Amino acid sequence: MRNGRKVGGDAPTWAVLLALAAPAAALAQEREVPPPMTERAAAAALADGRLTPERDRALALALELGPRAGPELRAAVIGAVAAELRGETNRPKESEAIFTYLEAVAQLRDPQAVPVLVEALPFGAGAANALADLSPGSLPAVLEAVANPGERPHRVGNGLTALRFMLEDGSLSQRQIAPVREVVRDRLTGMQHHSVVSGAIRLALALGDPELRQTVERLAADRTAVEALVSPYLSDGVTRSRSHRQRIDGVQERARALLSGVSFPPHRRPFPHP
Amino acid sequence: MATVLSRSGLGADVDSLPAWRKVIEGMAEPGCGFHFRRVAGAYAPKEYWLAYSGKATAKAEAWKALVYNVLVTVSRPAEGGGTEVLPERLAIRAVCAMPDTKDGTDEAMGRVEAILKEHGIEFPGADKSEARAPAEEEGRWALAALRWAGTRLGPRPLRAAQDQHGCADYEDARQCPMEDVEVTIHRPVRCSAGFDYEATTGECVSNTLGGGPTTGGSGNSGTSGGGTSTPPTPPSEPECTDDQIAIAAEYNDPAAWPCTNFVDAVTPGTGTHGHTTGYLTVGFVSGSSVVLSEVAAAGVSGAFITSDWRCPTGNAAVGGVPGSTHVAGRAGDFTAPGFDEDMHDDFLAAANSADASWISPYGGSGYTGHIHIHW
Repeated sequence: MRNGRKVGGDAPTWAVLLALAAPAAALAQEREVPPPMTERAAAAALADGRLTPERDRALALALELGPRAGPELRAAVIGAVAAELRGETNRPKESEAIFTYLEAVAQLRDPQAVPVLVEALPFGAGAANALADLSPGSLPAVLEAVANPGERPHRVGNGLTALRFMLEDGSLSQRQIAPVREVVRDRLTGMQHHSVVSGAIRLALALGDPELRQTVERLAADRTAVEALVSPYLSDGVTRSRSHRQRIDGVQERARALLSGVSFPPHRRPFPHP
Repeated sequence: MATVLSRSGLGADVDSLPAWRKVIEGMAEPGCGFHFRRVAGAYAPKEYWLAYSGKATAKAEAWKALVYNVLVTVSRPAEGGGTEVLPERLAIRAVCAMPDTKDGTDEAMGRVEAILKEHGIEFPGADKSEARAPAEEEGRWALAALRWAGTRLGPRPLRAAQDQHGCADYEDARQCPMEDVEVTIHRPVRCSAGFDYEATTGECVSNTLGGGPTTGGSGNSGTSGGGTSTPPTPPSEPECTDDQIAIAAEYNDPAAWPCTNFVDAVTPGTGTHGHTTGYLTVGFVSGSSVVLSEVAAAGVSGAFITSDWRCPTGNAAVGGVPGSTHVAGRAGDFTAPGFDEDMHDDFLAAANSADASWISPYGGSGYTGHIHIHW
């Protein structure tokens, strides 16, 4: 339903006419209006795990300042994200507050945030982008997560995306690329979660390594090779996926498309992130 | 030839207005309460706006108000190639004269307060939340402006504004001219064929044969320009739906809610606050479309969005933080019958295909009944 509009011309119905003539020195100095939040106050609010309006204001301030935030506020944001990820705050369940925290910490561009960003990798490409922003300093932590055989698949998958972003940025030296190549090789052997395989295929081609490319070509051509590689289980490693067949198809189709030069999201979003 | 100001919402062709000029021409849109609020409330906190939203919508005629020391910020291209002057982008005009300290802000706030008091506007209540004035609504709006300035102008924004506006060019920032800025708001005008809207006079002026000026019903004057009166045709641009108006009336940051950004499209679900439409970013609209189509292709049937845009009230009700991506129209919660980890993975793959920024994992610190995706 559309709203109606009046278009007739009427004189102003009310006006506020004020003048600013008083000298500054004579003006009231009352401070009853809440002052802008200081970084120190924001840090204190974030250190308090309780749900308060101040905490939200603090997050808003951190988001506004981004990398310009001072050390105290940075540390508080990072600590708050860690607490939020561990479920130590009193946010209502499924409040989705974590996403605001994650955006705030991603905007800090602070090397101290690398551990929580690695922890946040299952939350998507935002974390991968933030880690790539901190490359090459973030490389060891990402490599460690990706190489850990006991790591959660989605953290590994997005970790592989973070490595790809670093590679695409050209922020890694040949010496730093070598272990990336190794971890990709590992993730394209044995039995892996489909999300890991997808990330590894993408990174393998980005590396431009002939041997890894051959591996991808084999996967694209040989369904049995994909069946051997892609785990039929969900991330718990126990529950069988009812979508296993589709996952196999998906991995193979994606490998073929990538080999033909097609590019797929997630794409790198350089800092500052939108 | 005058620029035709045909867009909805509040704005002005800055090219027709010298920067730093005292009078800023703008338009308020009668149909969209939030536009009116944007100006009338002068960035009013929600609690002020809500009480007056109905009145504001009804009274969204031309009006004129003096806004404390407004600094013009050229914002973004508007329709027709003009540059829109958005009041929400209007920083405090006195920034150059303020020291870059918290005290400087307080000083400015003190000035406003003192002036308002001179006009009989009192502020009882511990937080000055109860304005009293000869014309109550005037006090409300002025108070709202005061409060807005108090919450938005800290040392950092002040410095940023000073930088942005070249205050450093002044030998001493305190020497910057202090001027009052009068904001004049016109209702939107679409002139009939053969007429152009004259921003400086608020009239429709014939653009052929040297015809005389024709009143276009400009809000400010409401008087004939001396020529034959030709009522303007109603705006033909997209209008806000009632639902959108209701949404906007609940929103606490009018700066982020230009009417033109409403997506008047049907989206599955009604959101957590019962609205059938809402503000959705382009990224969300396109991204969510990709997600839904991709999961359908993956064999998920009946996928839908349980919550996309949330008004602040609804967002707060579910524990969302202010400025949540839902409130910003960037996020959606997606699900389908039988949602489980397997299905989550389908949505996750689709979200990646849609180049989403953040995605909730399954279980753990994520959810088990839906997937939150935002762009």
